[in-house]
Amino acid sequence: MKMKDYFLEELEKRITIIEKGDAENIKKMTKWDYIVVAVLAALCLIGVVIGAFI
Amino acid sequence: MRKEKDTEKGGQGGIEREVYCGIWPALSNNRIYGFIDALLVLSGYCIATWSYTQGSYLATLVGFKKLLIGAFLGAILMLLIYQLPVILSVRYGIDIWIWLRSIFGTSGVKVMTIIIILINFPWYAVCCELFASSMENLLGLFHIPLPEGSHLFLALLCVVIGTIIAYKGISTITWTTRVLVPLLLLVGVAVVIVGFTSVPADVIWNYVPQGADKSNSFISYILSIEANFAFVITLVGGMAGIPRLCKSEKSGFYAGVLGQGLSGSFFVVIGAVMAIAMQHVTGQMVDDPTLMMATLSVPALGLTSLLLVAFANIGTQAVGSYIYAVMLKSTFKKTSYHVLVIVLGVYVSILCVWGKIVDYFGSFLTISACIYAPLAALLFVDFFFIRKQRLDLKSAYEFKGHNSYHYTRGYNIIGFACLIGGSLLSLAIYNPVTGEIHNLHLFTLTPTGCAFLGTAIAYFLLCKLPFVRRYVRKDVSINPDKEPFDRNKVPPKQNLFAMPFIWLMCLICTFGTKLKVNKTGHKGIKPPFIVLGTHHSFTDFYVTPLALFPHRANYVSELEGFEYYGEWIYRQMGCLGTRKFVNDLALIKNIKRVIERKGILVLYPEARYANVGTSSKLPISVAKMVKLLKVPVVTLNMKGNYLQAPLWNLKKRREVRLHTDMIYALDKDEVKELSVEEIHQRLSELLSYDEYAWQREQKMSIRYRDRAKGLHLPLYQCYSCHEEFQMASSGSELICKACGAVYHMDEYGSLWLGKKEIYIPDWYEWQREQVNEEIESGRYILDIKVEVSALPNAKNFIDCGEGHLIHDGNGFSLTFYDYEIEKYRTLLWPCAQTFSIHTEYNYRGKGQCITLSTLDNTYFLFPLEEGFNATKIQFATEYMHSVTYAYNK
Repeated sequence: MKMKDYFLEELEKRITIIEKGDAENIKKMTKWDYIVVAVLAALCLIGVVIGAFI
Repeated sequence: MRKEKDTEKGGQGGIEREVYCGIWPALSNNRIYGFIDALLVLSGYCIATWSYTQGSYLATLVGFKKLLIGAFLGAILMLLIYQLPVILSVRYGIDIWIWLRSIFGTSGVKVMTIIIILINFPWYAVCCELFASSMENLLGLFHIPLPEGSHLFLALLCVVIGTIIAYKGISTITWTTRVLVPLLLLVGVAVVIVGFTSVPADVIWNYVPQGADKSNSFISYILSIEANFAFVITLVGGMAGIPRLCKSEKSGFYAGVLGQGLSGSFFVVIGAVMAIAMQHVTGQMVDDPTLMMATLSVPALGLTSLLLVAFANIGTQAVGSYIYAVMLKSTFKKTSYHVLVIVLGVYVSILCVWGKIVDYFGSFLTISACIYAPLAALLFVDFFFIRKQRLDLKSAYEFKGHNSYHYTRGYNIIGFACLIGGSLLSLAIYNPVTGEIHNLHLFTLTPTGCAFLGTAIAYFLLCKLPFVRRYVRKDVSINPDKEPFDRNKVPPKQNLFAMPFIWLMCLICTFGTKLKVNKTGHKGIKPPFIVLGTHHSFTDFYVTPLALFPHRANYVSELEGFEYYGEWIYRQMGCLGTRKFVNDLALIKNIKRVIERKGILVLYPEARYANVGTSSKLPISVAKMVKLLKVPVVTLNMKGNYLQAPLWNLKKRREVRLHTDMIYALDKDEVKELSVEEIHQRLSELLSYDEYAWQREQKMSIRYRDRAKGLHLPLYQCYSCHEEFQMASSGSELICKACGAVYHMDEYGSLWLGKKEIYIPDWYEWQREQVNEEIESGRYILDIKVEVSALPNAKNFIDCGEGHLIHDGNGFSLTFYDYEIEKYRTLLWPCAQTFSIHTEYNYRGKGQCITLSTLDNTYFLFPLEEGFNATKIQFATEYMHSVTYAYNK
């Protein structure tokens, strides 16, 4: 097998593993994590707006 | 780090190299970073001497308290938003530049990477310049004389050391930053202490820039926020290189946010503190950290700090080289990572030798700031709202046969249009070169914020347009919307504001056809009433609104149109969605609603365009519905619509004139008094038509050269030798490949075999008789492999792969992989329930197909074998239904 074919095959294997759910092994952001991000962003925005008046 | 086993074929470290120093996706077992390591590496990327430059620049705009707010809260706000898509990198183990292939196209992304490298990498030349200055000052403190040219030598030294670290790979970078970054942070703390102790603390705390007045303080504040936004968003290009190697989405995301938002901003604030202190001590605001340190700090601490800050530039150079070399790998796949690191080093070296990078740094920043915000916005919207967190990886990696991201010669026009639009919006608000504000209202949102929001909204809305969505979402099969269409949703009236546009469009589309609407017995008729129209072609939808002018109406429409033109647009045009040849009670309820609110309901009861310009049998259910609704009925018998653009060849024949007979068919009393059969008979008469007969009657000649092209689709059986599926067509001729018979189509729609004239509808009906005989003799059966495409809603088709279709005396039987239950199943459509079927001759360029519907899904069936003709299947369906219906009756 040529080097190029070998690498293509390996890459395809990796993609197949990902498509079959390798991401399940990666800890995902939960709904609450997104809420925390939204709250933090809102607080930062409020802070930035307040900053204009001090 | 888990070492992957290399094989002889893969070469030494081949796979590992492709993962860590290339573009291959990092699998879960390749992940090497927890939060702390990722934070340290990204902090190393963000902390550099330019942070001091930014800090002293901010100090010229706003007071210390506002500076603190902007540097931390402003930066973190922008980071929290634009860094969110970094979770895609963690989830799939890929750089954002792989995802960006879906936004810019597989070739377009190459252009983008090169642009980003060209405009962003000069930052690193500035780093090297600052390193050289720092070292010069350091040596100056020891009174060590430096020869001429030593500045360039020192700058190149920074390039070389940074490049060597990057060349060594990810492990060396990780260890370098593990040591360097904590030390740098400690130095930062020490520097703040020096700053606050070298001058009274309240000098810094209560600092306001010289010449500041209330009138321009707001503008200055916005400028400072903009500077913070622009400063952090310039990291977008390299934001995912490290997170893709993280073990969790949260660690990858927060490492990016805090690496820049806390570590980077901390050094910005340090720069500001030093600048303010320098101004107090020397009367000059200086942004050279080495001068600040030398002037303000005690010698020992000053020297240590200076040394570390100088080496921070090397760390930045190393991490930057790694990240951008990996980014370039996505463009230059065959070039090794090491070569790319060297190329980047050479690029920076050339800029150092040039020596004017600091002078032109502003220009580079100007260009980059205009591009980064739209780029970040496109990524954000695409990830969360357009592709909904799923990417077709095989298309992204350009596997053979996977071309979802090829778009137009490799470029996604929509992505580039939004990027350019967003950049122009930014420049339309504020000119960063002259400092001129063009629009104060939008400026309050900051140019970067506006460009981000504007691009995000434009891209999102553009992708709502069906034709754009189809263009952008060629990968829809990876995460289709499976939610069935809401049949019960109350149809809105035709949008009043849309009416002028609808009428105008109808006028334009019928322009030149001399459309004449002949109204009979309409005086005094007021809604509610039903309009039943003949169905020849899409032109019917242009003629009907003009015939009903100035009234608005609701139209019963097949769901496929909703998908093609977009549900929102179709609903604004007053369409009620349904599926063909199913008993849809929800539709009847909605029709009743339209009538009860005194509306006009338009229905094309044939439910299919005319195959050869003759009317189909009117279902009895239409008469039953009229009886149920108890309102007057108007018929629209349109003429010329088929001749203008027949279903089998949609090229418009310009010679065709249009005419419509609009007849008051049944008044309210007649509907009440007449039986269902009598109503059916009257409506059948009023809705019958024969386009070729009308053409002869009107002596309307059609000189279009290819007037017979496509006619072999409805006329699939040779009239001479009776062979099926051997017909072909070209120009004005219909040819049998079996017997060689050539039928010439004249300008009045007749076919000629020598001197024998054949009337097209006669041939069509003759074929029907042939099929009927075949069924009667028990010879008819269709057993064929088909490609199944499901349409559950108005949003997308779902590819169900290969299926098996059988049509015989029991009706239709379709076996296919059902995505809903995730296994193969067989659906049955008995003859008694299938009045007819919908047929297409060239559906969206994919050839012939028929559709079979359930209440919540429509299956488009494309043949994968010979022996399939949509018209023949339609004949068989109609005959079997009529026989079964008569038997059951």
